[in-house]
Amino acid sequence: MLSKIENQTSFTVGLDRCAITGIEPADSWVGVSTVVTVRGRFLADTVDVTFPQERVSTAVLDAAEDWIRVRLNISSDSMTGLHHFHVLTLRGVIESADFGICFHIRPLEEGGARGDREAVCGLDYGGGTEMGIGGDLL
Amino acid sequence: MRAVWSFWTKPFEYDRSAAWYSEKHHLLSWILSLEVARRHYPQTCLITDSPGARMLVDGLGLEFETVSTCLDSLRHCHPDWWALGKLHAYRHQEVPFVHIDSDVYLWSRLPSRLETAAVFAQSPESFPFEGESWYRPGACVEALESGGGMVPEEWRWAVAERCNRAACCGIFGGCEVEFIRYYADLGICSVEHPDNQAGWMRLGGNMADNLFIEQYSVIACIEFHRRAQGRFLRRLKMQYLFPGAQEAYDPVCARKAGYTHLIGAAKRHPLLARRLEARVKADFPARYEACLRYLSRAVRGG
Repeated sequence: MLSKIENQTSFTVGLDRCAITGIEPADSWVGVSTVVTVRGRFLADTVDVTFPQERVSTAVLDAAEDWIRVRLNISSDSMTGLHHFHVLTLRGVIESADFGICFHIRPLEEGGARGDREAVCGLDYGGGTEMGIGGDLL
Repeated sequence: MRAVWSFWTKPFEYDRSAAWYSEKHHLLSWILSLEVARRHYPQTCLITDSPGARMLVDGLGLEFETVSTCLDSLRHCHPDWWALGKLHAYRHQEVPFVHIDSDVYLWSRLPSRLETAAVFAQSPESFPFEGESWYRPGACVEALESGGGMVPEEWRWAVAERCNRAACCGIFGGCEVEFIRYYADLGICSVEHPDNQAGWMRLGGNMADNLFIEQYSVIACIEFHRRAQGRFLRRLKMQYLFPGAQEAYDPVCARKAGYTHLIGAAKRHPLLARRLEARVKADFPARYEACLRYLSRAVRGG
């Protein structure tokens, strides 16, 4: 699974002001942390991070006007549960979706409904975990 | 061995229904989980509340051998504590059992090493004890203690030992029901104890603490009592369907075990949703039609 992301440390997403610039993979996605650096024009002074996903937690390591660095802690079977974690700023939304680490970035100041101007930075770590355990037996 | 399911509707209505591709697929999963498992385990039991019984039994027509609405007693509990429903179901058992999550399908009977085990679960998992983690046993114990709360000695011991292991409980059960009832009661009391409310509040909302009280606590209790020369001496040995998380996610291992768990985002996967519907429609057509009728009535009823 790791091999899928090793060579993708910089991503530019559809919104020209935002990019995920650093994915620092650890030795394994199982029971480890990784650090994600997100660059974008975030106008707020403070960054609020929430994590409704029970098997993923996070901590903001650093935050500035135009970037945040977030540590993600991923549990052994949370690889299937990444689709809903959120990194929220007061002015920007970075939202992961689907499977793997796919960030949807939409500056809030532009308004609009969820899904507007979404840009996907896709990382597919493969491994079939999106199929759950034994999903092919269905 | 009795097969047990639990359904506490309050967390489901609060936010967990969004975990599924659609409400229809949630119901179809209940049909498949029950109907497949009952081939191996005809003694079936549903632990739920009154709304859950109306949905699954009255509405969907699922035929459990026994149904308890004892989860009505949880109406005062905060829905963030979704694991309370499972723990109450564990505590309710008096004979060897397997609790099956409604997103788990047992295509094969469990191996005899599980059916005869003192305690068993799906697979072991571990986590970094230090720093940010989805499990935070140290923070939980510290918060409860600092608030003058009730902290089980098993939790204190596990944290002192820096235990970083837990058990993934897609399936959970065993023959040592006295121990399981004890462990479940420990988690329930720790959540509900009045002296602990300040501590839980101090920790802030973190749904991961459900995993602490269910999946970490069981390992803490087993390891503690195996060493403590107590009343559960020697009888406690944990067995797993899969030896590790990697094996669980290995399709070959899952096929060999005859086990499916639509864990996490798999419940929303479009392909799996299509397969789930096709499977129920083909294998259990009467149940499938009953599901459609129930949904139709629900829509008409507003």
